[in-house]
Amino acid sequence: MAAQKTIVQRILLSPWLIVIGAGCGVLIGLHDKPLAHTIAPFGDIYLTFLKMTVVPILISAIALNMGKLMSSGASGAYLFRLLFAFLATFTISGIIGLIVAVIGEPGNVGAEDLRLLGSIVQQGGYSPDLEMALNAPPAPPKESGFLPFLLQMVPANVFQAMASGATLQVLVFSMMFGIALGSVPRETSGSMFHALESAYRALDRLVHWMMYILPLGLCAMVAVQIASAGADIILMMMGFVGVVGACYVLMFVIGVLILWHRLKCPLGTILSELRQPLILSIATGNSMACVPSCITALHEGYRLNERDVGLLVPLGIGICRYGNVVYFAVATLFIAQLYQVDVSLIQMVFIVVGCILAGIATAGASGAVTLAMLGIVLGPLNMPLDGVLPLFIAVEPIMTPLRTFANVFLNCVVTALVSAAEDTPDEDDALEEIDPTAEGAPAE
Amino acid sequence: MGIALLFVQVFLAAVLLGASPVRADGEMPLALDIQRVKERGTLLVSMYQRDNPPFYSMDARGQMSGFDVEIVRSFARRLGVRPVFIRTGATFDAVVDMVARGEADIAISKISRTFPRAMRVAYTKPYLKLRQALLVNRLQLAQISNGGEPEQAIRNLNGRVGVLAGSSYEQFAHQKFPHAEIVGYPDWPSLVQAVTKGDVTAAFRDEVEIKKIIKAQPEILFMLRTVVLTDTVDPIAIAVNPDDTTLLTLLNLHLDDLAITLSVDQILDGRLPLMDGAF
Repeated sequence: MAAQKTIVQRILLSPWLIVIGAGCGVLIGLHDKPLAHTIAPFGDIYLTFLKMTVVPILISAIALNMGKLMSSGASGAYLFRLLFAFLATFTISGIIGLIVAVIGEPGNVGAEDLRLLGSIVQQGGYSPDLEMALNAPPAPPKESGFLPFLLQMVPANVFQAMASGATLQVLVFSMMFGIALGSVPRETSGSMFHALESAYRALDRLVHWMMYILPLGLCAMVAVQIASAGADIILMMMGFVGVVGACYVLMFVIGVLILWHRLKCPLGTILSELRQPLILSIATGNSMACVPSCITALHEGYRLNERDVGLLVPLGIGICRYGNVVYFAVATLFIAQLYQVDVSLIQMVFIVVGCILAGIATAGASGAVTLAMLGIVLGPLNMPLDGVLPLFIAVEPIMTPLRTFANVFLNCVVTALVSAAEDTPDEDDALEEIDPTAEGAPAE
Repeated sequence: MGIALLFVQVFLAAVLLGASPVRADGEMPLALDIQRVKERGTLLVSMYQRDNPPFYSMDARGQMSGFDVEIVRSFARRLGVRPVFIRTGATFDAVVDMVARGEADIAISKISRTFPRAMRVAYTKPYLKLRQALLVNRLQLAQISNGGEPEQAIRNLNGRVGVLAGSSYEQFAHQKFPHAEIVGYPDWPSLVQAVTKGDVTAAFRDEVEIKKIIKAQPEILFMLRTVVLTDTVDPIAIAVNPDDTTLLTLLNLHLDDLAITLSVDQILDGRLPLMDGAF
């Protein structure tokens, strides 16, 4: 990438300007709501531009790096370690969520709070929760749960999946395409690798340019977020938001320590290199939109192997929503505590597994759609979701950025743990199996 | 002979005139049931023991008010009598039975028209058509739905369904939820408490009462799901003794004149029908 940046470029990319942009957004959101809504379209355009690059980056980065990985030969052990890292982080996320929720007791609310919570649940005057006919022809059973989710992971038509932005399907296709490409002899696949690589580099450049106006986009996105958040409702759900937030803070601290240990560079560097993706995650609430910026930060900032980063970041952020797993675990216990349902130890294990499945099922979804997946955990536990869903929706404006932040950050940590260092064999024994010099060697 | 015949005719005329009294001002005689009420000067109204605003309630000074009370007052005013509310009925069946026994002229208390009651009393046309509704314990609903659609679980409700003992819903429940165990509760607050605690899966009553809970007790809504059954009807009418046919006709006529078009939500917000028109 551009090794030498001009003074103007450096100023535009400075963390201070980003902070100033976000600060302006907060001020506008708090004090001038009409202005916040006026500049909102600019934030929307900015986010749309970022989203525009997501599908092509997913395809080019995953197919390219998966292909490289497969043709490098050492993929079996690598994939196993990758899977282990993903699963371990998932499990740890679920357990942290459960433990903090058991200690924090977010669902143990007083009578006065219950009254307020109830009035949030029922905001529509006298309208009942459900109006239904007692005598109706039996409706065809609606499929729900994890199985239909698995079934729809594979696209019937990959171009349709791309056109409709079905992230998960595109991800699955790209992985399979990359694996297949890696097994094709180099003389045949070389041109495809080149095409993917140039596409990826061009898109990366595009995102880079977008970063120059990040402070402006940030200002607009933050302003409208602040302006539209209802403070009173958030206050009522403070216990829940606080417990989820505490989990994220805990995981952030652990993550920073892991990065510190792994990368062996000053704490300040660790944080400042990640500033762009992390700030983007909070400002956009859309983790996929942070993928390009994450790849840049990990590759250029942390000097991690581009192939690993280019594969792991889109894959991880796409599928491994660790932040969602934490959120689901806390939400499940919140509901159990609210309904005074005792949760046994075995059920806790069940919740962790359910939350991981639900977390994976949110792949490709963003915002409030994520909440519906909570049904995967609650259904088998026979706990109701509909009664409390309005509460969760009410605090979504604050939860979405937090969850996105956790998803992006934890994926950066996992990627940093699993990735090799840039072009130098890492002394960490866990990483010796991947030999970056083997890159480009034919599969057979 | 001629004189004798004249005597008989005069005698017969006197007897006949005596049997149907002609009032001094020359007006036509009143029907017997109306005459009874007017001579008494009061309309005896049988009404449920417990207050149920906005339909009927008594304030601290003993003043009655509410939707049903206004209907009775406007009717009594047209009749030229004073309404007297008899609040002894502990169940709705008891309220209706007072009319059947002739201890009251009319019964009004948001009373449902049902087949068994109609064998004892006559009903006016419904002045309000409510829908039947449920408060469902969310935890138990999640259990009986077992991951499926809650609608289906409600249609095949097989748990315990709570109703007010001696109310129309006792009978409605047997009709609508044949697989459920119907449990009677003496009063509404204890039934609401029972469904909140999960002693019964659902509480079955009209939509007005269910919607009142939404406004009055939002703190229990996270535990209770409010369900209105759209294809059910709970016709609310006034009951009279089957012998009081003229009273029934007059009540129907009065209800027609009132032409109540208020929606359930408007009534809940305390709107009353315009009852002081040009009667």
